[in-house]
Amino acid sequence: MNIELKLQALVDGELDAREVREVEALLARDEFASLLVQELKWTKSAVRHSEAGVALPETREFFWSKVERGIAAEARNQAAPAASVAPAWWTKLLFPASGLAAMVAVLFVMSGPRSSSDDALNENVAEDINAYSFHSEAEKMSVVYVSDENADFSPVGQEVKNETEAEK
Amino acid sequence: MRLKPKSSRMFLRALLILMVVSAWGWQVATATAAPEAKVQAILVWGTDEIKPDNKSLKQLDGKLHEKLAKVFKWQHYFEVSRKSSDLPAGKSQGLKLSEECSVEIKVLPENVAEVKLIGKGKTLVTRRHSLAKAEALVLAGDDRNNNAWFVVLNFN
Repeated sequence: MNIELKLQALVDGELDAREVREVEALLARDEFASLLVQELKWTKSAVRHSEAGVALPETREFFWSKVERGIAAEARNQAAPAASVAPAWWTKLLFPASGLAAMVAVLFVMSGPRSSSDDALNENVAEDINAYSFHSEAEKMSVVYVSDENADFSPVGQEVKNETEAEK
Repeated sequence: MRLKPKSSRMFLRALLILMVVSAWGWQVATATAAPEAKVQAILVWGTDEIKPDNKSLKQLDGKLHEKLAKVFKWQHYFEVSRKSSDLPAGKSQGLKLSEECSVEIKVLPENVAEVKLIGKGKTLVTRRHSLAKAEALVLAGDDRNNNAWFVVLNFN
């Protein structure tokens, strides 16, 4: 391989390590070779970054079809803003109506039955009375069972007693 | 239909104000109005003994007898007295069930009845009972000789 080709191969990165060392030793000795390598690098860089693009030829039909598509697209763009300027009348009610619905829902929750559970309802008993409550879901009844410490309250005692005495 | 911007805004404002006022009025009305109700109070005697030959004691109707028997331990239940009354909103209504026993009932706002059990002129128990469900309130206690008494209150 002559010296010019080796220099070109060096610039293109095609030499192995040994050949690179040999060529670099040559460049250190030979000023002409060094200048040639520099010029090859510039040339390579100029070709890489300044290469003209290749454009495909465009047919007449394709050119006019592009124009037609552009006109159609512009017509669509003009129609769309007109529609957005005047939205349907009911869309104006959307925000106030949804806010109002939320407010009504809150009022409904606030005004609804506070609790249907008797457990939440308070209960007071006299000092000498013990009472306990329970609820039977099956029989649908709430019970307050009182226990009189003095055992002197008998709402039915008098009626039953009267009859017992009458029997005697 | 397309409203003009100015009239549309006025319409929306008027609608909003109307609905807010209506909602507020509804809230106030439901929060303060006490509904009217009716109550039936039955004084019942529960015992395991054979029924005493008392003309004023009646066999309890089957349905209530069955309900009580499922919850309480006694075998026999007799009706001592029965009273019914309307419950005017916000007014206390007294029902005398026997010589020593009466109940006072008052319908409060939010569909709650306040029931006072009065024995010998003394308030023994005060209980608040929700009228939202059709459930009975039973005030009960031990009677002499292992018997029991019941005041069954049905609201409607």
